[in-house]
Amino acid sequence: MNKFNLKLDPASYSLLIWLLFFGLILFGGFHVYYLAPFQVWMLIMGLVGLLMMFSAGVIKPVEEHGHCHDHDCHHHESHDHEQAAPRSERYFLYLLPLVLFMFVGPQPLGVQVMQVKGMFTAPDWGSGLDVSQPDLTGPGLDGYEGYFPTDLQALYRIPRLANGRQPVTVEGMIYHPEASETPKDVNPDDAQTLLAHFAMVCCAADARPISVVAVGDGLEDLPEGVWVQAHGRAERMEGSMIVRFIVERIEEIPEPSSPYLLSR
Amino acid sequence: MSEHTASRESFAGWDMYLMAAILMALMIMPYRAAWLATFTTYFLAVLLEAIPFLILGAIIAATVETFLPPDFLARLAERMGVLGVPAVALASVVFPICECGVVAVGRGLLRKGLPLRHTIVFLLAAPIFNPVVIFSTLVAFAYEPRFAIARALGGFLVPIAVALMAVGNDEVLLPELAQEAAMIESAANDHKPPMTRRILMTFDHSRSELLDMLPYLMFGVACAAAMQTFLGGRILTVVGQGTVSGPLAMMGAAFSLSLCSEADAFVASTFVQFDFPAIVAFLVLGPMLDIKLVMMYRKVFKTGFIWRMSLLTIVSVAAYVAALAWVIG
Repeated sequence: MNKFNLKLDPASYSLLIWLLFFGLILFGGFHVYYLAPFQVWMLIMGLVGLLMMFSAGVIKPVEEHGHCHDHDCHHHESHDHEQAAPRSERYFLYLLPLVLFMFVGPQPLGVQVMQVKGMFTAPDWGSGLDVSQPDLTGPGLDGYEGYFPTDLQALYRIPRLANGRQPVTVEGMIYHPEASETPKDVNPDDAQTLLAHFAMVCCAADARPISVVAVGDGLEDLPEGVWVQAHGRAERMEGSMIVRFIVERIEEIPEPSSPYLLSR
Repeated sequence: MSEHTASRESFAGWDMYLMAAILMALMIMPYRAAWLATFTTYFLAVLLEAIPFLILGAIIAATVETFLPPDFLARLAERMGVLGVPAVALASVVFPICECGVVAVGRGLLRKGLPLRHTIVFLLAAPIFNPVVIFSTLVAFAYEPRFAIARALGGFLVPIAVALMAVGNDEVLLPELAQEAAMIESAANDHKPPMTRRILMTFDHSRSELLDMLPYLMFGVACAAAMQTFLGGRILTVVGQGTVSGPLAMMGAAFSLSLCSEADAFVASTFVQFDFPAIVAFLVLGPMLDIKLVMMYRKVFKTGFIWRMSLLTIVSVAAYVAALAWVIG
């Protein structure tokens, strides 16, 4: 029982592939493209679990290889050698996530998803921003030249931000909807450009595109998928829950480092 | 060649075809084709979210296997009689895991002698009838409690109904799993290994369990990612929002989207065009039956039984939703 044998069996090689994949995503900071921040703890837990399983496979009591007397050992044998020890093609299957990640690169969801899924214009999403400041012009907002930075969610949730008077700044992707995608009660001619953002809860699979109708000169000429920072004022359209954003100034920006808005 | 070996051989065929198809697409499509980027993002996101839960499930299953006395669950079930079935649903509260981890735990419980009927209740109830899911449903619908209550009730009643209807006298478990359960039962009187050895065995078993389930999870996730990439919310509107078509459309969405039960309520809350029964159909069916779950059930049950259980689950959820619609008028 005191002697241990260090050996990498086929199952250990499989776990090594998953350790590599998890490590790359976690330590490379690529999780922001796929998961909400709180899921990082699950990822770390998964990594620890994989490490423990890997260690248990590598460090084996020597006697276990030679003698199998009890039922657990029989069970272990049947599991380990028939299924956990994969045929060589299983390695290729396990490598698939890594291969896809390397070929395609880390990418957030984009306009193609908006075209397939359609748009959500009246969501009940929470805002990730602290909007509790009473005068909305506190310190730390200098970079916005008097505009209050908010996100699309906050425009819907906080009435004072969409009263038509408060200067606000939002970031989003340009999206030009087809007439059939225009929000209900809105004239398609009045909604030729949307500022859009994906909001997620747990992972990209549950992310939904939300948007605000943007009105302003030259917006129709901006290509779809471009990230912009727009400064202006927001107001609710008459008789509707839909918020319209009247753009006073707009500039292209690089894709944000955290590409998703987060729910509560 | 045994039946199970044959099924594994055929499965090894499809996963290779899937991988080959994706890799070929990578080679012939323009670099960074939009659909491929979307598919990859969905595929990796769901995998990264699901695998930690699968690891947790594998560790729980291995712990149960190594440390619980061999005939404990069987004796307990026998002692509780018919009350044991709803008791399992209630006990699911102490396993706050989503559907990605529940199949691994279910396999461990089966090996340890939990009767099939009880295990089915656990598999179907645990991903819904747990505090995390109920609370997230409450939050997603702005603390309007009827959605959470209807979901919890469905998560309690539907599994019991399915378990009572689905299980007959025929053999439904994979021969390998039945054989392992019998082996553990026959070794009930063997001596216990020392503690350090049992801890090592726990991790050794859990890694076997994990690697056993992973190809099935990956294939299910790939199918779900493809559905997410090519089928959007618009198709739901086309299919219908009627009294009958609405719940059916939402059940189809729940099956194909394969969302985590701890997050799906937030997605359901965005389907504002659907009424209460349709949303409840989505919330109740999704954690019990989706693409990745069907794939993972292949490591527990024979294919014929998976079909039967799936059909019964759909019918039971539809009946529950119809009853709900009738009650609320």
